[in-house]
Amino acid sequence: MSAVWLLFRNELRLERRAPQLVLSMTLFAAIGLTLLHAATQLAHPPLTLVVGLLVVTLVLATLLAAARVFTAEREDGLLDLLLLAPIPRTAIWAAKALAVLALLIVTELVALPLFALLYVGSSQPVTPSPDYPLLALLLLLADLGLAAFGSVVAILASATRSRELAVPILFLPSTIPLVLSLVACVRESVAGGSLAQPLGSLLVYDALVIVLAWGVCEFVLTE
Amino acid sequence: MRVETVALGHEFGSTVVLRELDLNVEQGSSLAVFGANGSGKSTLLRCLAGLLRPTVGSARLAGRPAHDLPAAERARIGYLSHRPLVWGGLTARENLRLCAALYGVVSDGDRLLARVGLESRAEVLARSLSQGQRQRLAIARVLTPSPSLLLLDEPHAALDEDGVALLDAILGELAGTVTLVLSTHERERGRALCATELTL
Repeated sequence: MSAVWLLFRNELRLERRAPQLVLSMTLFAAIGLTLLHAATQLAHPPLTLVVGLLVVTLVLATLLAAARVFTAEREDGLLDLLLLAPIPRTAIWAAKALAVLALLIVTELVALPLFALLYVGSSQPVTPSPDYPLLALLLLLADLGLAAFGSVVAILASATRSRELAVPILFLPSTIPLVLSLVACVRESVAGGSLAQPLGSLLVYDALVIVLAWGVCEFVLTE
Repeated sequence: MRVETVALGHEFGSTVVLRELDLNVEQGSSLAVFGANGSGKSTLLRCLAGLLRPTVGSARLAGRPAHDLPAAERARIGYLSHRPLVWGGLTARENLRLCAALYGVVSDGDRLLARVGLESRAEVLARSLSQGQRQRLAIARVLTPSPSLLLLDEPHAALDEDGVALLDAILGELAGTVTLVLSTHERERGRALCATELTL
Protein backbone atom coordinates (compact mmCIF):
# COMPACT_ATOMS: atom_id res chain seq x y z
CA MET A 1 0.00 0.00 0.00
CA SER A 2 1.44 3.38 -0.93
CA ALA A 3 2.65 5.67 1.82
CA VAL A 4 0.27 8.43 0.70
CA TRP A 5 -2.74 6.14 0.99
CA LEU A 6 -1.56 4.79 4.35
CA LEU A 7 -1.07 8.24 5.82
CA PHE A 8 -4.27 9.59 4.27
CA ARG A 9 -6.30 6.73 5.75
CA ASN A 10 -4.64 7.40 9.07
CA GLU A 11 -5.59 11.09 8.89
CA LEU A 12 -9.21 10.14 8.25
CA ARG A 13 -9.20 7.63 11.09
CA LEU A 14 -7.79 10.18 13.53
CA GLU A 15 -10.30 12.82 12.39
CA ARG A 16 -13.17 10.34 12.67
CA ARG A 17 -12.19 9.56 16.26
CA ALA A 18 -11.69 13.17 17.28
CA PRO A 19 -13.49 15.30 14.68
CA GLN A 20 -12.02 18.64 15.62
CA LEU A 21 -11.06 19.99 12.23
CA VAL A 22 -14.17 18.97 10.37
CA LEU A 23 -16.38 20.41 13.09
CA SER A 24 -14.51 23.69 13.25
CA MET A 25 -14.47 24.05 9.45
CA THR A 26 -18.15 23.28 8.92
CA LEU A 27 -19.23 25.44 11.85
CA PHE A 28 -17.04 28.27 10.63
CA ALA A 29 -18.43 28.02 7.10
CA ALA A 30 -22.02 27.95 8.37
CA ILE A 31 -21.52 30.88 10.73
CA GLY A 32 -19.51 32.81 8.14
CA LEU A 33 -22.17 32.42 5.44
CA THR A 34 -24.94 33.40 7.83
CA LEU A 35 -23.06 36.46 9.03
CA LEU A 36 -22.22 37.59 5.50
CA HIS A 37 -25.87 37.13 4.51
CA ALA A 38 -27.00 39.19 7.47
CA ALA A 39 -24.42 41.87 6.79
CA THR A 40 -25.16 42.32 3.08
CA GLN A 41 -29.01 42.27 3.19
CA LEU A 42 -29.29 42.74 -0.57
CA ALA A 43 -32.50 42.30 -2.54
CA HIS A 44 -31.81 39.94 -5.44
CA PRO A 45 -28.03 40.02 -5.05
CA PRO A 46 -25.94 39.22 -8.14
CA LEU A 47 -24.74 35.63 -8.39
CA THR A 48 -21.09 36.62 -8.75
CA LEU A 49 -21.24 38.43 -5.41
CA VAL A 50 -22.76 35.57 -3.43
CA VAL A 51 -20.47 32.99 -5.04
CA GLY A 52 -17.58 35.27 -4.12
CA LEU A 53 -18.81 35.32 -0.52
CA LEU A 54 -19.10 31.52 -0.54
CA VAL A 55 -15.57 31.08 -1.90
CA VAL A 56 -14.06 33.54 0.57
CA THR A 57 -15.80 31.64 3.39
CA LEU A 58 -14.27 28.39 2.13
CA VAL A 59 -10.83 30.00 1.81
CA LEU A 60 -11.06 31.09 5.44
CA ALA A 61 -12.26 27.62 6.46
CA THR A 62 -9.17 26.20 4.74
CA LEU A 63 -7.10 28.61 6.77
CA LEU A 64 -8.38 26.87 9.90
CA ALA A 65 -7.25 23.54 8.47
CA ALA A 66 -3.86 24.91 7.46
CA ALA A 67 -3.31 26.27 10.95
CA ARG A 68 -4.12 22.96 12.65
CA VAL A 69 -3.50 20.10 10.26
CA PHE A 70 0.12 19.77 11.29
CA THR A 71 -0.42 20.19 15.03
CA ALA A 72 0.20 16.55 16.01
CA GLU A 73 3.33 16.30 13.89
CA ARG A 74 4.69 19.47 15.49
CA GLU A 75 3.64 18.97 19.09
CA ASP A 76 4.18 15.20 19.36
CA GLY A 77 7.30 15.18 17.20
CA LEU A 78 5.68 12.80 14.71
CA LEU A 79 7.41 14.57 11.87
CA ASP A 80 10.68 12.97 13.05
CA LEU A 81 9.06 9.56 12.83
CA LEU A 82 7.78 10.23 9.33
CA LEU A 83 11.09 11.68 8.16
CA LEU A 84 12.93 8.55 9.30
CA ALA A 85 10.46 6.17 7.68
CA PRO A 86 11.49 4.89 4.24
CA ILE A 87 8.78 6.81 2.44
CA PRO A 88 9.00 9.69 -0.03
CA ARG A 89 8.92 12.92 1.92
CA THR A 90 6.38 14.34 -0.47
CA ALA A 91 4.02 11.58 0.70
CA ILE A 92 3.73 13.43 4.02
CA TRP A 93 2.46 16.52 2.21
CA ALA A 94 0.31 14.62 -0.28
CA ALA A 95 -1.51 12.75 2.50
CA LYS A 96 -2.17 16.01 4.34
CA ALA A 97 -3.40 17.65 1.14
CA LEU A 98 -5.80 14.78 0.48
CA ALA A 99 -7.06 15.00 4.06
CA VAL A 100 -7.68 18.75 3.73
CA LEU A 101 -9.42 18.10 0.40
CA ALA A 102 -11.72 15.58 2.08
CA LEU A 103 -12.43 18.04 4.89
CA LEU A 104 -13.23 20.78 2.39
CA ILE A 105 -15.66 18.53 0.53
CA VAL A 106 -17.43 17.69 3.78
CA THR A 107 -17.53 21.40 4.63
CA GLU A 108 -19.12 22.13 1.27
CA LEU A 109 -21.74 19.46 1.83
CA VAL A 110 -22.91 21.66 4.69
CA ALA A 111 -22.12 25.04 3.13
CA LEU A 112 -23.84 24.52 -0.23
CA PRO A 113 -27.32 23.64 1.12
CA LEU A 114 -27.04 26.57 3.52
CA PHE A 115 -25.96 28.80 0.64
CA ALA A 116 -29.02 27.65 -1.33
CA LEU A 117 -31.28 28.24 1.64
CA LEU A 118 -29.95 31.74 2.33
CA TYR A 119 -29.64 33.03 -1.21
CA VAL A 120 -31.88 30.94 -3.47
CA GLY A 121 -34.69 29.98 -1.15
CA SER A 122 -35.13 33.48 0.28
CA SER A 123 -37.96 35.89 -0.62
CA GLN A 124 -35.54 37.99 -2.69
CA PRO A 125 -33.34 35.34 -4.26
CA VAL A 126 -30.06 35.67 -6.06
CA THR A 127 -30.25 36.45 -9.78
CA PRO A 128 -29.81 34.38 -11.81
CA SER A 129 -30.15 31.07 -10.00
CA PRO A 130 -26.86 29.22 -9.73
CA ASP A 131 -25.93 26.43 -12.11
CA TYR A 132 -25.25 23.89 -9.36
CA PRO A 133 -23.32 21.30 -11.41
CA LEU A 134 -21.01 24.04 -12.68
CA LEU A 135 -20.68 25.53 -9.21
CA ALA A 136 -19.82 22.09 -7.76
CA LEU A 137 -17.18 21.55 -10.46
CA LEU A 138 -15.66 24.98 -9.84
CA LEU A 139 -15.59 24.42 -6.09
CA LEU A 140 -13.93 21.03 -6.56
CA LEU A 141 -11.23 22.61 -8.72
CA ALA A 142 -10.79 25.36 -6.13
CA ASP A 143 -10.58 22.74 -3.39
CA LEU A 144 -7.65 21.06 -5.13
CA GLY A 145 -5.62 24.28 -5.10
CA LEU A 146 -6.69 25.24 -1.60
CA ALA A 147 -5.87 21.82 -0.15
CA ALA A 148 -2.51 21.56 -1.91
CA PHE A 149 -1.42 25.05 -0.95
CA GLY A 150 -2.94 24.99 2.55
CA SER A 151 -1.02 21.82 3.38
CA VAL A 152 2.31 23.10 2.19
CA VAL A 153 1.77 26.33 4.12
CA ALA A 154 1.08 24.18 7.18
CA ILE A 155 4.41 22.41 6.69
CA LEU A 156 6.27 25.68 6.07
CA ALA A 157 4.70 27.33 9.10
CA SER A 158 5.48 24.37 11.33
CA ALA A 159 9.16 25.23 10.89
CA THR A 160 8.69 28.81 12.11
CA ARG A 161 8.18 30.18 15.57
CA SER A 162 5.46 32.67 14.68
CA ARG A 163 3.34 30.09 12.87
CA GLU A 164 0.01 31.67 13.88
CA LEU A 165 1.09 34.73 11.91
CA ALA A 166 2.87 32.86 9.14
CA VAL A 167 -0.10 30.74 8.06
CA PRO A 168 -2.50 33.58 7.11
CA ILE A 169 0.27 35.78 5.71
CA LEU A 170 1.52 33.01 3.44
CA PHE A 171 -1.83 31.49 2.59
CA LEU A 172 -4.39 34.26 2.07
CA PRO A 173 -2.64 36.45 -0.55
CA SER A 174 -1.81 33.38 -2.62
CA THR A 175 -5.47 32.46 -2.95
CA ILE A 176 -6.41 35.75 -4.67
CA PRO A 177 -5.85 34.36 -8.22
CA LEU A 178 -7.98 31.35 -7.36
CA VAL A 179 -10.88 33.48 -6.07
CA LEU A 180 -10.63 35.81 -9.11
CA SER A 181 -10.62 32.87 -11.56
CA LEU A 182 -13.57 31.18 -9.90
CA VAL A 183 -15.68 34.33 -9.80
CA ALA A 184 -14.72 35.07 -13.43
CA CYS A 185 -16.00 31.61 -14.38
CA VAL A 186 -19.35 32.39 -12.75
CA ARG A 187 -19.47 35.83 -14.39
CA GLU A 188 -18.80 34.38 -17.85
CA SER A 189 -21.34 31.66 -17.25
CA VAL A 190 -24.01 34.22 -16.33
CA ALA A 191 -23.13 36.39 -19.33
CA GLY A 192 -23.21 33.39 -21.64
CA GLY A 193 -19.54 33.89 -22.52
CA SER A 194 -16.75 31.39 -22.89
CA LEU A 195 -15.43 29.71 -19.75
CA ALA A 196 -12.19 28.71 -21.45
CA GLN A 197 -9.99 31.48 -20.12
CA PRO A 198 -11.12 31.65 -16.45
CA LEU A 199 -11.43 27.87 -16.24
CA GLY A 200 -7.96 27.57 -17.76
CA SER A 201 -6.66 30.03 -15.16
CA LEU A 202 -8.17 27.92 -12.39
CA LEU A 203 -6.59 24.75 -13.78
CA VAL A 204 -3.21 26.47 -14.22
CA TYR A 205 -3.44 27.72 -10.63
CA ASP A 206 -4.08 24.20 -9.38
CA ALA A 207 -1.25 22.73 -11.46
CA LEU A 208 1.21 25.44 -10.41
CA VAL A 209 0.30 25.13 -6.75
CA ILE A 210 0.65 21.34 -6.79
CA VAL A 211 4.04 21.45 -8.56
CA LEU A 212 5.26 24.26 -6.30
CA ALA A 213 4.02 22.49 -3.17
CA TRP A 214 5.69 19.26 -4.27
CA GLY A 215 9.05 20.98 -4.71
CA VAL A 216 8.83 23.21 -1.66
CA CYS A 217 7.83 20.45 0.72
CA GLU A 218 10.62 18.17 -0.50
CA PHE A 219 13.09 21.00 0.19
CA VAL A 220 11.58 22.12 3.49
CA LEU A 221 11.29 18.62 4.90
CA THR A 222 14.77 17.65 3.75
CA GLU A 223 16.45 20.78 5.07
CA MET B 1 25.65 0.19 10.63
CA ARG B 2 28.86 2.12 11.22
CA VAL B 3 28.60 5.58 12.78
CA GLU B 4 31.20 8.24 12.17
CA THR B 5 31.47 11.95 12.77
CA VAL B 6 34.23 14.21 11.55
CA ALA B 7 34.72 17.60 13.25
CA LEU B 8 30.97 17.62 13.86
CA GLY B 9 29.58 20.87 15.15
CA HIS B 10 26.19 22.44 15.45
CA GLU B 11 24.96 25.89 16.38
CA PHE B 12 21.47 27.19 17.04
CA GLY B 13 21.82 30.85 16.14
CA SER B 14 24.75 32.13 18.19
CA THR B 15 24.63 29.21 20.63
CA VAL B 16 27.25 26.57 19.94
CA VAL B 17 25.88 23.20 21.01
CA LEU B 18 28.41 20.80 19.54
CA ARG B 19 32.00 21.55 18.61
CA GLU B 20 34.66 19.58 16.71
CA LEU B 21 33.36 16.16 17.60
CA ASP B 22 35.10 13.13 16.13
CA LEU B 23 33.44 9.77 16.69
CA ASN B 24 33.73 6.29 15.34
CA VAL B 25 31.35 3.52 16.37
CA GLU B 26 31.87 0.32 14.45
CA GLN B 27 29.05 -1.91 13.27
CA GLY B 28 27.70 -3.88 16.24
CA SER B 29 29.51 -1.74 18.79
CA SER B 30 27.99 0.67 21.29
CA LEU B 31 28.59 4.12 22.69
CA ALA B 32 27.18 5.74 25.81
CA VAL B 33 26.93 9.52 25.62
CA PHE B 34 27.02 11.38 28.92
CA GLY B 35 26.69 15.06 29.59
CA ALA B 36 24.86 17.70 31.56
CA ASN B 37 21.56 19.15 30.39
CA GLY B 38 22.16 21.27 27.32
CA SER B 39 25.53 19.69 26.57
CA GLY B 40 24.36 18.57 23.12
CA LYS B 41 23.44 14.91 23.61
CA SER B 42 20.08 15.20 21.88
CA THR B 43 21.55 17.39 19.14
CA LEU B 44 24.23 14.76 18.51
CA LEU B 45 21.62 12.02 18.23
CA ARG B 46 19.46 14.13 15.92
CA CYS B 47 22.49 14.79 13.72
CA LEU B 48 23.25 11.07 13.64
CA ALA B 49 19.63 10.27 12.79
CA GLY B 50 19.82 12.72 9.90
CA LEU B 51 17.07 14.87 11.39
CA LEU B 52 19.43 17.81 11.77
CA ARG B 53 22.02 18.89 9.24
CA PRO B 54 25.21 19.77 11.15
CA THR B 55 26.39 23.32 10.63
CA VAL B 56 30.04 22.18 10.75
CA GLY B 57 31.68 18.89 9.85
CA SER B 58 29.78 15.75 9.02
CA ALA B 59 27.88 12.84 10.51
CA ARG B 60 28.06 9.67 8.43
CA LEU B 61 26.20 6.38 8.66
CA ALA B 62 27.57 3.43 6.72
CA GLY B 63 29.81 5.90 4.92
CA ARG B 64 27.01 8.20 3.74
CA PRO B 65 25.97 11.63 5.06
CA ALA B 66 23.33 10.96 7.72
CA HIS B 67 21.02 13.74 6.54
CA ASP B 68 21.07 12.45 2.98
CA LEU B 69 20.51 8.73 3.36
CA PRO B 70 18.45 6.83 0.81
CA ALA B 71 15.13 5.48 2.10
CA ALA B 72 16.40 1.92 2.47
CA GLU B 73 19.25 3.09 4.72
CA ARG B 74 16.96 5.36 6.76
CA ALA B 75 14.79 2.33 7.44
CA ARG B 76 17.69 0.73 9.34
CA ILE B 77 17.71 3.50 11.98
CA GLY B 78 15.74 3.11 15.18
CA TYR B 79 15.42 6.49 16.88
CA LEU B 80 13.95 7.07 20.30
CA SER B 81 13.70 10.69 21.39
CA HIS B 82 12.46 12.42 24.53
CA ARG B 83 9.00 12.19 23.02
CA PRO B 84 7.55 8.75 22.29
CA LEU B 85 6.73 9.60 18.65
CA VAL B 86 3.46 7.72 18.59
CA TRP B 87 0.02 8.77 17.37
CA GLY B 88 -2.02 9.58 20.45
CA GLY B 89 -5.28 8.94 18.59
CA LEU B 90 -4.28 5.38 17.62
CA THR B 91 -4.26 2.37 19.88
CA ALA B 92 -0.96 0.77 20.83
CA ARG B 93 -1.59 -2.04 18.31
CA GLU B 94 -2.58 0.38 15.54
CA ASN B 95 0.56 2.44 16.14
CA LEU B 96 2.75 -0.60 15.57
CA ARG B 97 0.71 -1.73 12.55
CA LEU B 98 1.02 1.68 10.94
CA CYS B 99 4.71 1.81 11.69
CA ALA B 100 5.21 -1.66 10.16
CA ALA B 101 3.24 -0.64 7.08
CA LEU B 102 5.29 2.53 6.64
CA TYR B 103 8.48 0.49 6.86
CA GLY B 104 7.10 -2.19 4.56
CA VAL B 105 7.59 -4.99 7.08
CA VAL B 106 5.15 -7.60 8.34
CA SER B 107 3.61 -6.38 11.57
CA ASP B 108 4.85 -8.27 14.58
CA GLY B 109 3.01 -5.89 16.85
CA ASP B 110 1.44 -8.34 19.27
CA ARG B 111 4.75 -10.05 19.99
CA LEU B 112 6.45 -6.69 20.49
CA LEU B 113 3.65 -5.44 22.72
CA ALA B 114 4.02 -8.58 24.82
CA ARG B 115 7.80 -8.08 24.85
CA VAL B 116 7.41 -4.60 26.38
CA GLY B 117 4.64 -5.70 28.74
CA LEU B 118 1.78 -3.91 27.00
CA GLU B 119 -0.23 -6.88 25.71
CA SER B 120 -3.16 -6.00 27.96
CA ARG B 121 -3.08 -2.38 26.72
CA ALA B 122 -3.02 -3.19 23.00
CA GLU B 123 -6.45 -1.67 22.33
CA VAL B 124 -5.93 1.44 24.44
CA LEU B 125 -5.37 4.76 22.69
CA ALA B 126 -1.76 5.84 23.06
CA ARG B 127 -2.87 9.16 24.54
CA SER B 128 -4.61 7.27 27.34
CA LEU B 129 -1.48 5.36 28.30
CA SER B 130 0.69 6.57 31.14
CA GLN B 131 3.98 8.25 30.26
CA GLY B 132 5.92 5.11 31.12
CA GLN B 133 3.59 2.95 29.04
CA ARG B 134 3.97 5.32 26.10
CA GLN B 135 7.72 4.96 26.46
CA ARG B 136 7.34 1.16 26.37
CA LEU B 137 5.21 1.56 23.24
CA ALA B 138 7.93 3.77 21.78
CA ILE B 139 10.48 1.00 22.43
CA ALA B 140 8.22 -1.47 20.59
CA ARG B 141 7.84 1.06 17.80
CA VAL B 142 11.61 1.44 17.49
CA LEU B 143 12.06 -2.33 17.30
CA THR B 144 9.31 -2.84 14.69
CA PRO B 145 11.49 -2.54 11.58
CA SER B 146 14.38 -4.55 13.14
CA PRO B 147 16.87 -1.68 12.95
CA SER B 148 20.61 -2.16 12.66
CA LEU B 149 21.35 1.17 14.37
CA LEU B 150 19.68 2.26 17.60
CA LEU B 151 19.87 5.92 18.56
CA LEU B 152 18.32 6.17 22.01
CA ASP B 153 18.00 9.54 23.69
CA GLU B 154 17.62 8.99 27.43
CA PRO B 155 15.43 5.93 26.87
CA HIS B 156 15.13 5.09 30.56
CA ALA B 157 13.40 8.37 31.36
CA ALA B 158 9.78 7.85 32.42
CA LEU B 159 10.21 4.09 32.85
CA ASP B 160 9.51 2.41 36.16
CA GLU B 161 11.91 -0.17 37.64
CA ASP B 162 10.37 -3.02 35.65
CA GLY B 163 10.50 -0.95 32.50
CA VAL B 164 14.15 -0.08 33.06
CA ALA B 165 15.00 -3.75 33.60
CA LEU B 166 13.02 -4.71 30.52
CA LEU B 167 14.79 -2.15 28.33
CA ASP B 168 18.18 -3.22 29.67
CA ALA B 169 17.31 -6.85 28.88
CA ILE B 170 16.27 -5.95 25.33
CA LEU B 171 19.46 -3.97 24.78
CA GLY B 172 21.45 -6.87 26.23
CA GLU B 173 19.84 -9.26 23.71
CA LEU B 174 20.64 -6.91 20.85
CA ALA B 175 24.25 -6.29 21.93
CA GLY B 176 26.69 -7.10 19.17
CA THR B 177 24.02 -7.37 16.47
CA VAL B 178 23.03 -3.70 16.31
CA THR B 179 25.06 -0.54 16.65
CA LEU B 180 23.92 1.39 19.70
CA VAL B 181 24.35 5.05 20.61
CA LEU B 182 22.68 5.75 23.94
CA SER B 183 22.51 9.07 25.74
CA THR B 184 21.91 8.94 29.46
CA HIS B 185 22.58 10.70 32.73
CA GLU B 186 23.15 7.37 34.47
CA ARG B 187 26.85 6.63 34.09
CA GLU B 188 26.76 3.19 35.68
CA ARG B 189 23.93 2.03 33.50
CA GLY B 190 25.50 3.54 30.38
CA ARG B 191 28.78 1.79 31.09
CA ALA B 192 27.01 -1.50 31.72
CA LEU B 193 25.16 -1.30 28.43
CA CYS B 194 27.84 0.15 26.16
CA ALA B 195 31.38 -0.77 25.20
CA THR B 196 32.63 2.82 24.87
CA GLU B 197 31.67 6.17 26.28
CA LEU B 198 31.79 9.83 25.47
CA THR B 199 31.21 12.82 27.74
CA LEU B 200 30.06 16.03 26.12
